Amino acid sequence: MSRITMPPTAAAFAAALLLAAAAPAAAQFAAVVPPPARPAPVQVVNGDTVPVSPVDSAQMATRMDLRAWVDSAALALTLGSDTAAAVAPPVAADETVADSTVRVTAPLPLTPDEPQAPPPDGPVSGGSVLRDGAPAPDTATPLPLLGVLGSAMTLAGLALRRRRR
Amino acid sequence: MTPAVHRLAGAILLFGGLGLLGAVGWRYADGALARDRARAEWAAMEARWAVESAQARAERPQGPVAPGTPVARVVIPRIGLDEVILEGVEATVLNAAPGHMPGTPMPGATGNSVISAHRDRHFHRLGQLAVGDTVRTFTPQGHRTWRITGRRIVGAGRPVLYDTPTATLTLTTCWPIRFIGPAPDRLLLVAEPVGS
Repeated sequence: MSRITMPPTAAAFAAALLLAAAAPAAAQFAAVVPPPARPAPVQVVNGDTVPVSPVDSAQMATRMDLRAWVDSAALALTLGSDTAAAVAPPVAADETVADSTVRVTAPLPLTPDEPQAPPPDGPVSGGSVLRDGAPAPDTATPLPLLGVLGSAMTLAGLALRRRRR
Repeated sequence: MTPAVHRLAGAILLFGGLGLLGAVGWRYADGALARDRARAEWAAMEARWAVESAQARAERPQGPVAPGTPVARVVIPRIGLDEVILEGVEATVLNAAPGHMPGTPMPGATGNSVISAHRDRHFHRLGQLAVGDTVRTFTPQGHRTWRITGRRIVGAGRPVLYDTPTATLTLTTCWPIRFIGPAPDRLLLVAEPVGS
């Protein structure tokens, strides 16, 4: 069995390289460390602490009153972002939930980048929006001219052939 | 000219003219067939909406509309016009039916809805309309009666179409109606809704 040996300078360089690479390399092993246990989601209703099951979505929706939140969000969409905060339902202190995953209790403010609800008037045609000052669509057609030309050519051809006889 | 030249020139003119007439006739016939298809499609859509409305689960089309899709129907009693409107103002669409200009709202919705057609086909009697005449439009969202409030003749490239804060209907076609060759002007009829 052969033994691998290296000069002292190379060993020092390898050690320095390992130490320098240790910090970024540590990020790859972070997943091995178990995260701290998250507190169980609870809801405070009328002063009583009620545990909330994180897997029971129907129960979560009921207890968080998501229907009211969705309705208020839809109303905010129709009224615009400026009034979104004004129409948001007041959030009582006893309705907050300790779990961060279910903490949303008010509609998020709208930003201009968010897609807007379709207008209630009906479908919007494809293509670009009407540009102010656009000319009328090009309805010009050469068909009448071609028809007249074809008729004239046919008559002329007939006349020439008849004249030959 | 010798008789041979006469014969050759006559044959060229005759067959060339017949070819032109055939091409023009084919184009008109193709448009007529497409118009019939659009009418049948619109009738089927109306029947389907009626059934869905009766079953209280009507789903009106929303979102972008593909070019060539029937989107509305326009009726002008004074000139006996009753046409299905297709989406788009491309040559193939206008060959079949009046076209709804993309980017403008459907007739009856808020804004300036623009409908265009050729003067030698569906809008060949549009020039007979005057201020005060009635126009009716039917869309999946309902029907609306309009009264013509303006009549303008402008150059082909002039800026004439603007969005409006209220429901407006603009009908356009080429002008003069009787013109050999590409018409230089455009006839615009602007209508406002009658009632609410």
